[in-house]
Amino acid sequence: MANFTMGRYVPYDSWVHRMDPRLKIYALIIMMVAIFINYPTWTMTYTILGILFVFTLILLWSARMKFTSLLKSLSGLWFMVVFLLVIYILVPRYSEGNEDWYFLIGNFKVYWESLLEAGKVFFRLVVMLSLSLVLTATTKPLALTDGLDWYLSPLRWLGVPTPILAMIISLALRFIPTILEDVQRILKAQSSRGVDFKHGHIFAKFRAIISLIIPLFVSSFIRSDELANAMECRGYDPSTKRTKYRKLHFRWWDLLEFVIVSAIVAGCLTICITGFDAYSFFWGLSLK
Amino acid sequence: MPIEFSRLSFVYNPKSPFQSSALNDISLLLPEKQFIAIVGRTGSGKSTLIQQINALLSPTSGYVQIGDFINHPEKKPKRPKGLNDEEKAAFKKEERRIYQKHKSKDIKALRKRVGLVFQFPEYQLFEETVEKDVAFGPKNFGVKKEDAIRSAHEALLRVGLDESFFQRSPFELSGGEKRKVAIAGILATSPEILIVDEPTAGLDPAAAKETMELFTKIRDAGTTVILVTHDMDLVATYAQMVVVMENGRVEKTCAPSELFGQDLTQYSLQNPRIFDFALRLKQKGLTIDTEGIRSVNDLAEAIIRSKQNG
Ligand SMILES: Nc1ncnc2c1ncn2[C@@H]1O[C@H](COP(=O)(O)OP(=O)(O)OP(=O)(O)O)[C@@H](O)[C@H]1O
Ligand SMILES: [Mg+2]
Repeated sequence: MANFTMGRYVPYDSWVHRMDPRLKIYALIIMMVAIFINYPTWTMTYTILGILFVFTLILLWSARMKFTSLLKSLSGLWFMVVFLLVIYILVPRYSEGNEDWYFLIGNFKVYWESLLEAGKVFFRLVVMLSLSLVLTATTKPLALTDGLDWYLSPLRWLGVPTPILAMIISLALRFIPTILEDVQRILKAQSSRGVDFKHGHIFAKFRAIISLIIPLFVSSFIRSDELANAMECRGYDPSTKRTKYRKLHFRWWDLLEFVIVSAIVAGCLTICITGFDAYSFFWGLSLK
Repeated sequence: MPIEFSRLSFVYNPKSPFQSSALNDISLLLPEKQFIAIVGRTGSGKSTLIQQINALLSPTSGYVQIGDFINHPEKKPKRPKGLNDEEKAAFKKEERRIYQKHKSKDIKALRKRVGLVFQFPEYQLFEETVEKDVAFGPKNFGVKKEDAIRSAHEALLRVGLDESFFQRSPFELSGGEKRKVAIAGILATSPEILIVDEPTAGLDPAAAKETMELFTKIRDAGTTVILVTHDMDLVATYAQMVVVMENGRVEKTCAPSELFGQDLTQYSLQNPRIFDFALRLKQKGLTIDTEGIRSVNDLAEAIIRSKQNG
């Protein structure tokens, strides 16, 4: 049956796991910036994305995650690849001076630059997804919420009820595995009533999905109702200040990691802003 | 259809930190047309075992054969090294017998013949009316709509829900009534093997008794009934054969009366109350034969016999 383990916390012990969650969130966000900004030439773009990807793989390896689990999570992207290729081939893109850089399919011009563009988008998605995967696989949902809570806390001065927001986020995260379990259980129950979730024509598929969704909603509503009651019975009051069982500590290695990540991204930003092209600067190559 | 487990093992989430082995090397033959109880402590693997019969889970190694359907692991095992030609041929032959590819319609046919009522089946209800929900199973197995509704009505009446329930929404029912609807949903498909996981948990004693009596009737009509339970009183009263599970293994397969009188606390089980009562009488000096006491009637007869003899 379907594998829902993607994006789930995997309890190993490694320095990536031990990193401060606030730092991890910070790192993810600024790395995203580095991934999505534009670099002067496509060679530079691919080089930098390559470096970031290698960096991600190092993280992945340090966190003792398997490369195959990454591949499995990325395997859903094939649809994106086809989609991107079709779009970029149909909507030609070329910059000045590159008008003749194409090949023909029949008598339809496919510009190499379009393919490079499509490749860029795809590469960015891959790096971004792998990074997020590292974050969710190495951080306990609760630690993640604590981190988010810390970032949200300045909003309190604007009257935003941040403790409630944090509670909502942590409950939502907390219930992801429970709901996935529910999905499995209902899938099995309906399968034993003869529902086939994998085969069959579109109408049968639709019926199959309905038979999954409705019980799922019902049990989720019942669950949240019961949870709310249980919380109230135990004296939960959203308006009072909550103390924390786990306190986040920023340690010296966190500082080191902070500096490394910031330096990498700062380097990327510098290249972006100055339009520095290493290939022409060092080797005098000028690629299209 | 007999069910035969052969050296079956099952691991949840293999090759991950969540890996947990739930069934270990199970070999077991469940004869047809019997009332079979599966007992054992919480987490001993009962629910995992019965899901193998319905091909909802596939074994990690070994196989289970239900009639002519074999539920086998997804991957073929490697051939062990150092076999001579004859053994190689035998291995090949066995492999060809076990590892037949299943089409989706084969699996559907299996699930039509093997009905499984889950622990807490009330979570599977979803149609607007009780009647439609019960007819959902038969319709999936290709029964025409009118016939499906007819068998739904029959099944509902059998579990003790009368006409007034047919048009109600399943979500407005009480927990026990939902449970009955869910059981009816499987009965309506008239399976050859009926598997029920803790069907009486949460039912009132009268409803529990009715349900068990219904299962007995179904067995009498020629269906194999497999009951998963913690309640040894039920086992004593209804089962013809009992399988004791412990830690993912089958510890014992025997007739219920053979089981009673042993120390069952090692399996977190208790003797049926009536049997304990008989034992106590014996300890206090009444000379009665406690062998085979399964019901109040048996006990009464044993007491009368001992009075007549002594
Ligand atoms: N979906 C799952 N993922 C991982 N492990 C599981 C899963 N379901 C069950 N297990 C584990 O497998 C073992 C057997 O579980 P199973 O549900 O078969 O027990 P059971 O005998 O039915 O218990 P109970 O009497 O409480 O219903 C348990 O140790 C359990 O923790
Ligand atoms: Mg169970």
